[in-house]
Amino acid sequence: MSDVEVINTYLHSQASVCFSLLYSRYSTKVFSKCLTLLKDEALAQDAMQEIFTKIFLNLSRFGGKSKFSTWVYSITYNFCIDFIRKNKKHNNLFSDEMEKTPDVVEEVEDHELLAMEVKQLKKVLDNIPSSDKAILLMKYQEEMSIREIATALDKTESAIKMKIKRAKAKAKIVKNELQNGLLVSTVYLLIQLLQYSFLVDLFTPSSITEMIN
Amino acid sequence: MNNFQRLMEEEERNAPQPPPLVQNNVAGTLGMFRFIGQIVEMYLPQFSNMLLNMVGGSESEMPQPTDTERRIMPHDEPLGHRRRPSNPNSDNPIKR
Repeated sequence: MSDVEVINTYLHSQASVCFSLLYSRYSTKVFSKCLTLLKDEALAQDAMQEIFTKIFLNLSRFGGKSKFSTWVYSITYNFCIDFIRKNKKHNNLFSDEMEKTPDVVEEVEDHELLAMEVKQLKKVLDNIPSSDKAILLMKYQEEMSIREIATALDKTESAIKMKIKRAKAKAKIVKNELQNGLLVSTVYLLIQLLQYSFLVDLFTPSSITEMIN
Repeated sequence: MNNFQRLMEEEERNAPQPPPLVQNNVAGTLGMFRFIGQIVEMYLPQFSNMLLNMVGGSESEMPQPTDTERRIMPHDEPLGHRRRPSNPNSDNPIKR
């Protein structure tokens, strides 16, 4: 049965089988997304419970204009972003996020992000703010249109375009920082190796013998 | 499949399974809302009658439809007993 058929059956009959079917189809993905954004298993479980309660209480409002999965993930991202924002207000008023955002936002091409290796991409996404991460995931992972993202986050399309632009710029800055950090540590390691090899050469038995002689 | 989607697959593979407690809690919450809705549906008319009685009114005192309203709403009467206008030349606001 397709998602729409299951939903219609559930709305008519409130059958628990339909509930279990929909839950089993999306629970792992929703949980994975909550873990990615909230980075804490206990918080992800709580968030997942709230998200599914919201989904099933508002199931009649799903108009079928988009895919059900898109609708589910919109609710998921929206909830997680709101949760993070509420927690941020309590935790720190001053963050260094503004320092990372350039005054003039550089236009970053899609291929610069899409060309990254999966491991590198994961590191980059883990080092940008969660709201920016969420919007990039909605754009490139779920392949949601600007309009769908705007509807999900209750923002205008132009605001979403600017958010995506800023998120891509931050991702590029982090990517460059990580690459520079890798370069510096590689050079340092090489220097250490050279010094070690120099010392080894200096203190080999033949060299010691020569020194004595 | 782009790198974002490959990352999603990898994360889903590595993510732990959500505990069954979450499903039970969601089902429980939905059941509670359903129960409350059924209670409200069952008792709301009686509750409204009770409030009416407390205020001092009764159902019989509710305003009855006038003759004009009865003519405009013929469907309230059984079929075959429709009222005809007493005078075809009467000032009927519907008739031009």
